[in-house]
Amino acid sequence: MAGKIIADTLEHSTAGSIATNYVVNGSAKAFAQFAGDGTAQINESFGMSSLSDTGAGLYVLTVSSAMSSSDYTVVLHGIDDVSYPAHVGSYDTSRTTTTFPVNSSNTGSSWGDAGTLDAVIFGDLA
Amino acid sequence: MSEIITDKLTGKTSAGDVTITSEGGSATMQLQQGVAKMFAYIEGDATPTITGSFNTASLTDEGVAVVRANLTNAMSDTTFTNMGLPKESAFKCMIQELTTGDIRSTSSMVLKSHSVSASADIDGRNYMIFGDLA
Repeated sequence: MAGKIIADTLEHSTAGSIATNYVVNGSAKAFAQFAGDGTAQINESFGMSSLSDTGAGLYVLTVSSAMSSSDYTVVLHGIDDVSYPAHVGSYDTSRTTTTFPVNSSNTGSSWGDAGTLDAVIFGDLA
Repeated sequence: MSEIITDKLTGKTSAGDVTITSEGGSATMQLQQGVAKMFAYIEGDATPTITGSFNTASLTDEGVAVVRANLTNAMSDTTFTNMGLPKESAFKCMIQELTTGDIRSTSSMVLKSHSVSASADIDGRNYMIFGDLA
């Protein structure tokens, strides 16, 4: 490590100041943009170690560093073409401190692969 | 209490890598990666207008239900993670990104809004981007 600064506040000359707990608590702890149809794969990510395709419209993302509990916040966004907007959710109950499910539907009535999906998580790292 | 007064944080070993320690103390992460690179709250269905934003230069109304937010500083590529949340009081709505036609670029994100049955302008939109700036 090059160096370490321990501080409670960061202050900019014109843009104001922020308590450093907002920097630590408010930063996204992981995000991923991944292809959901065909061969599911992560296109770009931070803090994610892997993606599993567990069925039509069913995926599991695994984070690199564990969260402190399974009560973190997941935000999802689905991308698909004009004819059927992608509905997304994390409906499964199998969330852990290191994995969470992402589910998509392109018909509204059953699970189905979406073209591309985005996921972001906020909360406390372990 | 301690306070740092500075306009810029730069990593010493690697300029783009400033590490922060996790809440629990057992992990570290890159500060730059975890912060949002863009957000915008957009009001108005007929004439969408930015009412609160960061790193958002302008909007382009690309027709019914399609609004593009143009970034001040571009992303490094088009595989960034973006989020959208719609706001509408008159009907149930959702928002989506398209894979053809009005699509994202390194300097913009674009989302289309829908009612249950058709494309529709909506009262408001929330946009957000995570990923690497150029």
